[in-house]
Amino acid sequence: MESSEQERLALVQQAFNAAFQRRAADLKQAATDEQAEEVLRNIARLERAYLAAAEQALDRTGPQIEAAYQAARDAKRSVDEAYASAKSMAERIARVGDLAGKIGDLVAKAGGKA
Amino acid sequence: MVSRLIIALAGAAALLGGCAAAPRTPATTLSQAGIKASNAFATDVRTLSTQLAYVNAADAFSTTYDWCTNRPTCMPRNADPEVAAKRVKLADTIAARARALDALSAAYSALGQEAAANGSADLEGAARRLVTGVNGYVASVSELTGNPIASAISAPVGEVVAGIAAEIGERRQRQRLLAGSRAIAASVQTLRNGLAAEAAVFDSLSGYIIEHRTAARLAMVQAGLVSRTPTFTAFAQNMGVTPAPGAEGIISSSKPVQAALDATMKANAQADVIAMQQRYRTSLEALDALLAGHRELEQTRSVSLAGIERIIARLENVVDAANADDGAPGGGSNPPPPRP
Repeated sequence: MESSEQERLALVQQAFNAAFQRRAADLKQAATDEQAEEVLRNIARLERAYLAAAEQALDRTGPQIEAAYQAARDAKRSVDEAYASAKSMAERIARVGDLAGKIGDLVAKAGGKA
Repeated sequence: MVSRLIIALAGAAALLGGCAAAPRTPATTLSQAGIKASNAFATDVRTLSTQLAYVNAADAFSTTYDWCTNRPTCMPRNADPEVAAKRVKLADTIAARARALDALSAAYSALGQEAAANGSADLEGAARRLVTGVNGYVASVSELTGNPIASAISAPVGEVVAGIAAEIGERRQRQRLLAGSRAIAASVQTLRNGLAAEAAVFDSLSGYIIEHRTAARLAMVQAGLVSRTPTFTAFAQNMGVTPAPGAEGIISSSKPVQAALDATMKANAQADVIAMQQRYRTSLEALDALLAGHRELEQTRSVSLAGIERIIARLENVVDAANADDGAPGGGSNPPPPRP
C-alpha cells in the first residue's frame, strides 16, 4: 500500500525526535569528542530534513518515493535495533548517519526538490 | 454620453439600495464577534511565533548543557546555522499571520464604528489595511508550503471605495456596511484558506517546538536552576490531594520523586501539543462561523450570532487555559485546570 503524506512526515519527525531524545546518553557514551561531534551532526542533519519536510508538503507520489520511504523505514528500524541491542557507539553513529541520508532523500523526493 | 452613463448607474444603485434601513445592529454584533475571534487568534499566533524563534536559544542552552554534563570538555554549543535560519523563517511566516489577524481585528472595529456612527469610520482605510495584511500572509504561506493558496485580494477594496462615494444618508450607510462586510468576508475567506493550508505544518511544528522547550526546561530543572515544586503542586491539585509538610524537601532529595516529576513534566508537554492543535482548529472554526455570519448579513440583513458566540466561547476557553498554564502555550510545567 502506498504511504500517505502524513505517514512520511511522521516518519521524518519520529527519526528526529528519537535522535534528539537520545542526545544526552549518546554524548555520554561517545568514546571521543569527535564521536560526540558526529552525534550532534547527525541530529542536525535529521533536524534540517524535518524542517524541510515541515515547509513542504511531502505529497509527491510514485515508485521512487515509495522506495525512498521504505528505505527510510528500514534505516530507522536498523537504528532502533542498534540501540535495543546495545551495539557499539561507532555502529550506532553509522546507522543514524545512514538514516539521516535516507530521510533526506525521502524529503527531497517527496517534496519535489529532487 | 458620460453624464448619461453616470445617471444610469446612479439610478441602478438607487434601485439596488432600495429604502431598507441600514443593518446597524447585526453589523455591530458581527463586528464584536470578529474582533473577539481575531484578537484571540492573533494573541495565540504571536506567542507561537515568538516561541519558535526562541527555539534557537532553547536549543543552544540544552545542547550546551548536555555536552558539558557528559563530556570532559565544556564549550558553548550554538544551533546548526541552517537549522537556526529555517526556524527564523518559519517564525516570520507565523508573525505575518498575526499581522493579518491584527488587520482583520481593525477592519471589524471599523465596521462596528460605521454601524455606530454613520460615515465617520475609516472603513475603506481599514479594508485596505486588512487586504494588505492578508495578502502578505498568503504570499508568505505560499512560499513556505510551495503551494499557491489563493490570488491576492484587490476587487473588494475597489468595490468598497467606488460603491460608497455616491451614496447619501441611510442608504449610504447601508451600502457602506454591506460593502464593508463583503470586503472583510473576502479577506476572511483568503485568510482562512491560508490558515487551513498551514494546519498540517502547524500540527507538526507544535510538537517540535514543545520538544525543544521541554528539553531546555528539563536541563534547567536538572541543573537545579528551576524548581520542580510548581509541577508537583499543580499535579497534586489535579489529583485532589494536599501536599504533605516538607514535600519540597523530599522533592529536592529524592531521585525517584525527581524522575517521576520530570516524567510528569514531559506528559504535560504532550498535553500542551494537543492543546495547541485544538486551538488552531477552533480558530479555523471561528473564521468559518464569521464567514457564515457575513453570508447571513448579505442575504437576510440580519445575523444570528448563536453559532459564532458558541465557537468564540470555546476559543476563549482554550486560550484562557493556555494562559492559565504558564502564560504561554508549550509551557509543559503545569497541566491545564480540570474541565467541568
